[in-house]
Amino acid sequence: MKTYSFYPGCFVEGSEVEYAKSCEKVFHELGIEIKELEDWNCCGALELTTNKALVIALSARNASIAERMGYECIVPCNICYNNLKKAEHEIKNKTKVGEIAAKALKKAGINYEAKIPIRHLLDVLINDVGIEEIKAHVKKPLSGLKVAPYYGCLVVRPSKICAFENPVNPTSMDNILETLGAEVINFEHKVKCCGGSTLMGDRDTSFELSARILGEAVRKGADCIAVVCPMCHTMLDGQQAMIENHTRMKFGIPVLYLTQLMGIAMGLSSSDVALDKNIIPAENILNKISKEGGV
Amino acid sequence: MGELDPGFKYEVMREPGGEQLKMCFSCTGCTVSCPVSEIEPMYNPRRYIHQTLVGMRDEVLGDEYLWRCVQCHSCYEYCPQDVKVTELISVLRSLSEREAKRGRVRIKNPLYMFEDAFAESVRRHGRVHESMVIAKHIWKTRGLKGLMEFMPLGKAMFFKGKISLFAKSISKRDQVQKIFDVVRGGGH
Ligand code: SF4
Ligand code: SF4
Repeated sequence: MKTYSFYPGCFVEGSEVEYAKSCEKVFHELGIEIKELEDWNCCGALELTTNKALVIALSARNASIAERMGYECIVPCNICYNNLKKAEHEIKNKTKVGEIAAKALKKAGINYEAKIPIRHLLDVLINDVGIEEIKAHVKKPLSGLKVAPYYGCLVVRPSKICAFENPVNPTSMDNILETLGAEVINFEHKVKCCGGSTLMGDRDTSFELSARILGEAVRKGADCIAVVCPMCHTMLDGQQAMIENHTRMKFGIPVLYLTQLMGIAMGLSSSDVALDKNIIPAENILNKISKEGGV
Repeated sequence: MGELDPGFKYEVMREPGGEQLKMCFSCTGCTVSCPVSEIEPMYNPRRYIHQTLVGMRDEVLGDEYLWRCVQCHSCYEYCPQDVKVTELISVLRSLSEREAKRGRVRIKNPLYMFEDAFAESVRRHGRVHESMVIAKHIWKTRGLKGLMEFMPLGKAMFFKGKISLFAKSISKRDQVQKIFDVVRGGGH
């Protein structure tokens, strides 16, 4: 059994319980052991823009815990992933911001050598687990389900630092969803921004950006959107009704975590993947999966 | 228009993240790829870079639109000169914030306040107490109307067990506090 350390981040641990639970169950099914980082802290998210060195140092503290535990670290959130990767990059390359962070770590008694790989959940699924292994676990294919794969920004950009995917047209989630038996739509907004980071500053912009993503998915007849980030999920699922009010558009489209869809295809129950926790009712998608496909 | 400050570009380049400023050759790639510029033409990353290079300090640091950047890193990705535009915008924000603290600039965008409250929560607990920081921010910036608008979602989240009423603190908060102290004390 392969073991990884796991950094949930505040968002996944706090409100995005459906992501936390479906990750746990899916990894268990795949025979992968995940150990939560011990005494992890907030990475700073995208909310400390005026002090990037602080974000780098806070993120590096988490990476140092993974290093001490000795397991590669899986990160299920685009923002946390981006921050931890940047911490690794800036400190390793001794950039100005990296040096300030390194000094702070040293004074706080933390030893970090930027040696342990930081991996996005999607990276581990596609490159370590692999399509063949995922296929072997599919018990109830998602036949007939049309899914819009939405990756978001910070899992692929900047590609010099977050380097496992193509920054313009990533395909890992498309491939996984196809392997699950779903029909994957050609989604032009797959790496466009949901605007989440400015929700608390300038709602109009974030709502407008998210509305474009929701709009394309609905226009193309998707039954649901698949995501791999709690920020994207909060915008597209949690805020969806408010975006509808604001833009006077109608969407009503469920937004599921990739791991929720994987769990369903692997034969887990809807409570195993916490389908009841999504804000836009997600249980209906089970009716859209054609029964003939099942084993 | 304020006076030109020929030292402004050096001030920016001295900041962590601002080092690459001079590499810009004005191709407009950043602005073309920017989703915020697409919605709001007053937000224009290439213009900020140009204005910084020629020394338009007051205009740049007093610009309300600086706070519109969503940090999507499109500009960072597409810049052929590796200017790291996203980081540069953050540097401009931090200089603008410093001016605001000296009372020389007034920032209307409430994101600035949210960032402060967020940072304070992390400094105190090691983690952010998300629901509390968000609720307080909505109350402070949009009052009762804001909270009422948020009610349906807040209620749904509460009944789905997505809101924690208490902050979760980590045990080595002292390490986190030390990080804050050192970076804030020596970083500027
Ligand atoms: S990071 Fe900011 S400036 Fe750059 S493209 Fe995105 S919104 Fe525009
Ligand atoms: S893309 Fe880079 S080189 Fe081109 S204008 Fe923007 S910062 Fe300058």
